[in-house]
Amino acid sequence: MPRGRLVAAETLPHRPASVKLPRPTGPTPGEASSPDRRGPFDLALVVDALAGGLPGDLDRVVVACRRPAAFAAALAATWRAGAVAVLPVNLGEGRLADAADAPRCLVLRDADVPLPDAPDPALIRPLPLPSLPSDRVVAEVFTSGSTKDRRRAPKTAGQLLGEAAALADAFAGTSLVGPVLATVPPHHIYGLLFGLLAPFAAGQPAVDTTALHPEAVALALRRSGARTLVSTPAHLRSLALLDPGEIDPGVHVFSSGAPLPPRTAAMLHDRFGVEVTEVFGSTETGGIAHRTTRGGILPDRFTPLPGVEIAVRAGRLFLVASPFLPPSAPRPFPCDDGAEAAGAGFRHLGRLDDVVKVAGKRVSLRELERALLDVPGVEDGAVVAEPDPGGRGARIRALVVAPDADLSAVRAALARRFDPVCVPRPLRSVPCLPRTATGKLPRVTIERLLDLSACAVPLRLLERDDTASLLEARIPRDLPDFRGHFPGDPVLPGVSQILRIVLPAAAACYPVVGPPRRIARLKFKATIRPGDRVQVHLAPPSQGRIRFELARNGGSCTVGAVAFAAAPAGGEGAPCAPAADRA
Amino acid sequence: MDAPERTPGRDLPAHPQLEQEIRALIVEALMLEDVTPDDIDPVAPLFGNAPGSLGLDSIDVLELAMALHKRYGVRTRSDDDRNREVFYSVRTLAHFVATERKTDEKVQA
Repeated sequence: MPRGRLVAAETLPHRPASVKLPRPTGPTPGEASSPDRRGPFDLALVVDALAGGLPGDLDRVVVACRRPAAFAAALAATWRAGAVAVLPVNLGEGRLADAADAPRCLVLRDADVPLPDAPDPALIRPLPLPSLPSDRVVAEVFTSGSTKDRRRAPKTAGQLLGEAAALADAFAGTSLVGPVLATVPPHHIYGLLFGLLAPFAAGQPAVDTTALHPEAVALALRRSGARTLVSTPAHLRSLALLDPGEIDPGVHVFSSGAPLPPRTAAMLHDRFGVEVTEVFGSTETGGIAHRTTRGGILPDRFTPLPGVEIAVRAGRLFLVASPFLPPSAPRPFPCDDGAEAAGAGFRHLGRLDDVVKVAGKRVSLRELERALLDVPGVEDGAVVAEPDPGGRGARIRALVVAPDADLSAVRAALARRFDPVCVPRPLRSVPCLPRTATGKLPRVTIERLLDLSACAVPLRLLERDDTASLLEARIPRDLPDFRGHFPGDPVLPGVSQILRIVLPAAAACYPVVGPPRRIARLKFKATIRPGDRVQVHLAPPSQGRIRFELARNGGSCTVGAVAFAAAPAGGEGAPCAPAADRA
Repeated sequence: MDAPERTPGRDLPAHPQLEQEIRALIVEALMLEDVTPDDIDPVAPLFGNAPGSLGLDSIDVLELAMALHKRYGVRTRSDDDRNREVFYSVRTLAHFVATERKTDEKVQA
């Protein structure tokens, strides 16, 4: 049996079912052992040992290894035995049982793979990829996340190994330079392709690590000398925990699995000087397109991967040709993505269920929100849509934090980029948005704030921290509330103070979902008059109540505590336009 | 499976105030909709699927690390084995935060 080479499964002699697996220890023969250098270890002997122990009539192997070296060896052994590698959704026992629920199927876990001792992290010497007929099914991937839906999608050698080779061609030497470190586990198709198969196809080593925490990732990057990081937006975002310099600027980053927020790309560049290649694709279609940041900024368009031909029809992305699509899939293949043709590539307009049609014009809410945030003077914003029974079809509303900007200028800026019917209406100004610590802003909160801000006086945020919020309210002289209240002696009514100052300020600072229920301990101590600048002090919700104080020139005018209902009022079953989300 | 003697945090002193803050932070930062801070047992495992654990996953641990850093300015600065101990339960987290804060104060003094 030649060492280090995988041969086509049909030419292998039959192996007996049970063979003692030798456990190699120490450095591989022929490998220079140097205590300082983290030399790559060669999996060829491990693959031999593992393959030798597999039953002869095996159909499938669930490769349930978390550790990349174990996974690579188990995968190679599976293919040598002529079996199909099943990639589980996750490594929980329930999922593994589902995945293994097939005839002549075996599960290989980390403990089943006899790896030699190696420094942490070790480098995995590239394994040669087998040469198999392109229509041979080599893997099965579960395409759904729910326990009830156990759809297995077969992947042929053409799809999987072909894509690995194509990725190596497209990126080797530029951005996929070894060693390659992945934070995505190898049983996910993206981790498998970018973390193992494409590096191996490019002759590059992979890093054998399961590091996940940012500090552990930085440590593994440094120790392994990795030049490429394969990761996903949720992991990349957490690298903000690190200090500048903890990741070498020469490292190139790949991101896939979810849209990469521009803010995360910018953070990676500003903090570490690294650029990111975002890969767009899906488990079902394989890779489709890519784009790479410059100076931390993502270009607006994606470029198709080599071998992939796309088309955009009626605002939808289609795959006209792709070797990574299942052979049986229709071509052109309709993707679930909105797109706009751009040169040889396309602009991604978001998932199709993110796109709404207003008066027949198609607009992506995410793109609208991004455009809003791009307008000079806009510090924050959120966009929501709901169906409109009238001629518009959908109604788009927005909140914007733009203390010094003219709202009509903001609207005009949006109207330049989008059809005027798609400009949010109303586009309402708020002093701040009540995002949670992780930046989330649920839809019900946006809707509540939209409602409560409708009659607000101009409010400006001065300071906010965990213990209090301070805003300033300007009382317009011509407020209708002053009419007749009282003639010759205009005083802002208590009710107006609550409706126009307290409720809008509270809902802007703290996530409020339900209507106001009660105001307690309300005291009017001093009057508020036209033209006044009033300080609004708010305390964070405590036992469901937000304490407030309105003051003028340091003197207290009004105090109290407002309690909001914990749930939205009934009937708020607004449909699925997505809630605003930011990294 | 940890043997009872090896359960991280078993012998650590409690920090009631900090534990209460961290329980609230977990619910808020991870947006756990049907869990209140009082529901979280301070010594129960936060991660994994064992019965009695809170059932958080690996993305939750990253979000929680960021929320803790934002709130208390602390980081683990180490590998994932140590992280597993620190993030094991509310108790181990509170002990970690209390210790790190003291260290920072000493450094600044």
